Amino acid sequence: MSKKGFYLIGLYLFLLCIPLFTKDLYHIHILIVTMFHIILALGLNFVMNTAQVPLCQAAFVGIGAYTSTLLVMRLNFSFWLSLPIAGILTGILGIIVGLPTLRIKGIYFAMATFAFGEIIRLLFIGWGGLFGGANGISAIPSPNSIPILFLGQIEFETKVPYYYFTLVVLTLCLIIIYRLTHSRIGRACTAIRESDRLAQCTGIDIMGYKVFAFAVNSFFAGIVGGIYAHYFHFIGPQDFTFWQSVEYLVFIVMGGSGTIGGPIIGSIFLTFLPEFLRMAVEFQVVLYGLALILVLLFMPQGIVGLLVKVSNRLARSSYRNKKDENTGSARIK
Amino acid sequence: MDPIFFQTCINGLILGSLYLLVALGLTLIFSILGIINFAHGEIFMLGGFATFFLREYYGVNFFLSLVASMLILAAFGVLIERMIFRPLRGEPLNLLVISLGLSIVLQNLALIFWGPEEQSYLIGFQGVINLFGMVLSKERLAAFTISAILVVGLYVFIGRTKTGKALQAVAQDSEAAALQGININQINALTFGIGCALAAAAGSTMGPIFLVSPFMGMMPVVKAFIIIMLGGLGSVIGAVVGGLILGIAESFGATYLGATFQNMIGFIILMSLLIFKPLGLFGYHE
Repeated sequence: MSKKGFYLIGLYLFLLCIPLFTKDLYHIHILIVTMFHIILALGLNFVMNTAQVPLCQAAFVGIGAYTSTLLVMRLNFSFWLSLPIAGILTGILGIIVGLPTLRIKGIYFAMATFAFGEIIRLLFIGWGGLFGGANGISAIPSPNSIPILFLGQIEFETKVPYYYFTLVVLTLCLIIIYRLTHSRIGRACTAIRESDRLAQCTGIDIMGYKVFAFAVNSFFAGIVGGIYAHYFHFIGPQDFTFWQSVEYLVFIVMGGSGTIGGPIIGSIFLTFLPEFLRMAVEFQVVLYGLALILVLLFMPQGIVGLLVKVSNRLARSSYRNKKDENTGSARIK
Repeated sequence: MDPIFFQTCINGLILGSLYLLVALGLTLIFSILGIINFAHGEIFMLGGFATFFLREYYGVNFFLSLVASMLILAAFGVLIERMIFRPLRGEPLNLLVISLGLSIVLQNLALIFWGPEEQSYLIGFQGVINLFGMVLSKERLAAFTISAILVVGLYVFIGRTKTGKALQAVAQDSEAAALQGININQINALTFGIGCALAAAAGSTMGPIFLVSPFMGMMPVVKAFIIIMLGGLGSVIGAVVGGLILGIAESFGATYLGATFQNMIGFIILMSLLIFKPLGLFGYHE
């Protein structure tokens, strides 16, 4: 097994042990929210690999959340059935929205998806009979308990089972994204990002790949929405605004776009940051905004970009030192 | 035709003219600097607050405080362009996120200093005019007039003056413009200043109508996005037409279909237009 594999196993053991050693359930809560953010940022990043920037992520989360909620509360579905249905339905909606809008590019695509997101949010508010209007839907039941071998029944009473469940979902999403990025599909997407005309000339069905990436993203968003609804027990239109959609974009840009690590690090950093700023009470949000500005001014490639730069510089200087020792010559600046 | 129909038309026209000032600044900044400026709503809000303080605390004449507010925000705009936006030129995604950061900072600073209350001030035109059975508030008419004067002024400035032509040149191709001896940095700063001044004017005139609060910028900036996409990015005429279309559509939506639909109609028009004519009504290929 490679070195990377050992690190990964170590990381997972650590993540599995966290709930055993924290008394404060609030910490678990932050971790769960961070994992939601990571999944959403990963999906969005996959779409951005095809050089399209959608601004309707929150709308897809909302559709997933309302679908699962309504299936459970109105039609008495089990959570374990309604969650995949929510994901698949949102994915199909992604295809329906993507087919006309993905033909257009750049800022025009961003704005078309922005309009779509707002239409969905206003629909949640306007269609009071079904979606509960501006008040949203409260008292959403927890997932049904599930039997697991050797462990007995798992009841979703505290935050800990949610933590493990979200961790499992996050791992699945990571595997899917990793496999997709390192496959023919991922390489085709990269070709589209670099130059979509050239990609088309080499026989890549650019529309097909763009719609596929968009559908994968909306599927992820739908799944997160489903868990979100049953975790918070309350959803309302104010949870799925345009500003939330932009926030996921911020995660990616801050972390460094184009890699898998970037969105993950960006989501972790920006979900934890407000918690660290909590001591500044009323200046918390101001400092958050200020941090955004400063990070971008001083590391425009995002956090991952900075790490890569630093490690490159270290590698180069150690290489240089070695060379100096071998040749015995003094380094001339 | 009943008077309600004409009333709705006029209301829409006035509403559109108010959104238009915000939209014009946005579209100028986008076409020259390539920034989707999310902080524009906060500039609008600061403009409203500047006029509010000048009017209520120092009792300055409304027109004087309008001009002062425009000048203050223009200076502020030049400053933030230099400090925040210029280092990241040419990276649209980073510019978008940094403008978002700026918007968060400004909005929450305003919240800390001035509180969340909605405040109002008088501009010196009260009451209504009855015209052919229509009721028009003098405040709104004044706002419409100010907006119209500024739009015509901007149009003349861009079309007729040397600096305005330099602006057009940079919008078309900044490198070629630089080769002709146009100072790109100066033009960028000027554009940002003008955009912010227009937003401040909008904030000052809309203050009495929509009330002044730290959150007052969020709604108009969204409307402004719709308008500039409808009209075609970077087109002044397009923004004017887009503003009028949105204003009238919303006004009719509100009168005949209800308040929820009023907000939705703009997005529905925008989405369908983008799908069938992505460049907007007056947009052009580069």
